[in-house]
Amino acid sequence: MKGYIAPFMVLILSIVTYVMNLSTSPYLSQVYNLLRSVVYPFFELKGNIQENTKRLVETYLLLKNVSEENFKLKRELEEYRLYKAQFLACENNLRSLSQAIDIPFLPSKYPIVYANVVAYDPSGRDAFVLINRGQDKGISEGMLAFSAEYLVGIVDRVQGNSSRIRTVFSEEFTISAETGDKAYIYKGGFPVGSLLHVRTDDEINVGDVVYVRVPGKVFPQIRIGTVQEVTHDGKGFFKKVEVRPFADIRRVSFLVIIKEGL
Amino acid sequence: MKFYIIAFLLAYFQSSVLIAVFYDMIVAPNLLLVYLFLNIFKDDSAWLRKAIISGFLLDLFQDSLGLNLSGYVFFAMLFSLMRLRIEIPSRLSLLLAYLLLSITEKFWIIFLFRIKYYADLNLWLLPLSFAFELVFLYLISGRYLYRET
Repeated sequence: MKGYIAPFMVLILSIVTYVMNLSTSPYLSQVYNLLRSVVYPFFELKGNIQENTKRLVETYLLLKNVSEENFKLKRELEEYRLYKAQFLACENNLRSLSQAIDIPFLPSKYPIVYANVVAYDPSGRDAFVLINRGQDKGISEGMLAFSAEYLVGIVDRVQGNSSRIRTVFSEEFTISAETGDKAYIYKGGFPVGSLLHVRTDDEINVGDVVYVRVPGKVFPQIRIGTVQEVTHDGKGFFKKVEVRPFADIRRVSFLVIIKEGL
Repeated sequence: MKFYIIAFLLAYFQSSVLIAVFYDMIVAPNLLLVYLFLNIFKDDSAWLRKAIISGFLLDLFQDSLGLNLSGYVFFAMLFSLMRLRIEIPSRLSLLLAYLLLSITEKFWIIFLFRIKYYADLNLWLLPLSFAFELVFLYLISGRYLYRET
């Protein structure tokens, strides 16, 4: 065991060196720096190798994620193609039924425009976004913009090749909405909007989904948000209904605009 | 001399490539430790000097003076003590002995590191790191065992 005294001392010394950070102490740091300067030419190369290896690993991980997402999207696309086939079958059935009972059948097919979000509201209140499509693509004020079946907002200013979308979080945003079988007015707000003029005897519960209502037109059912809180202070005729919008403005990079005014 | 040149190259490779791949100096595979283990196994006459120099080289490249040095000396001491009692006749026993010692060394390093710093440790990478080390040991241990017998 005598032979282990020296290794034990070295062990203790190295622990003290590490814990007390002796490599930065005035005397030892000079020796340490001298040793480092001997291998200094290797350090720059080491930094480059490390940086490039990290970049390679990151690229590999990114490509792997993209490939997985691509596979997931392909499956989703197949599902949507199946839905589309089912909808076409339904439409044909409706057409033949309308002919049989002599009721006019007016299928709704509105043209759409795809746009990229190019700028966000700098105030942080997500009141508007700018898109890279404008008059050049036939966009006009009052058109609905949505993303992943959730309402993002309404076009409120159109320029040559860009437009501004007033979002569901804007205080100046109002739209006709429905939940259950009743119509209300949705008013935007940050971070939650509200339903106006909800009577105290109206049945509205937390979790109810609020949709866009377009009277006289067959529009796709676009969701605005869910009822988050229903309160009544005991005075007046109306309840206070808070609605949390589905749209996550800061994650939206791509929008669909229905080229049909409300 | 050959040992020190290879140790230098392994320390360099470890601190520039493996740490970048594993994103963490604690869980990156320690190929230099494998090499030290095999060299002490082959000839245990200068084990302390080899452990000190290889640990110091790694500390020099990772800027952690004392951390790897203490780990390597601790590892070499344990291995030296182990050899007083246990025979390592086959490659399997060599792998098992290394696994046992390297796990101890890794926890020693983690313990020392945590005394000074806090960092999230991805413990899922540890088995992968050990697997790398064992594969490396398996690949290079052949001729050492052959020479031993």
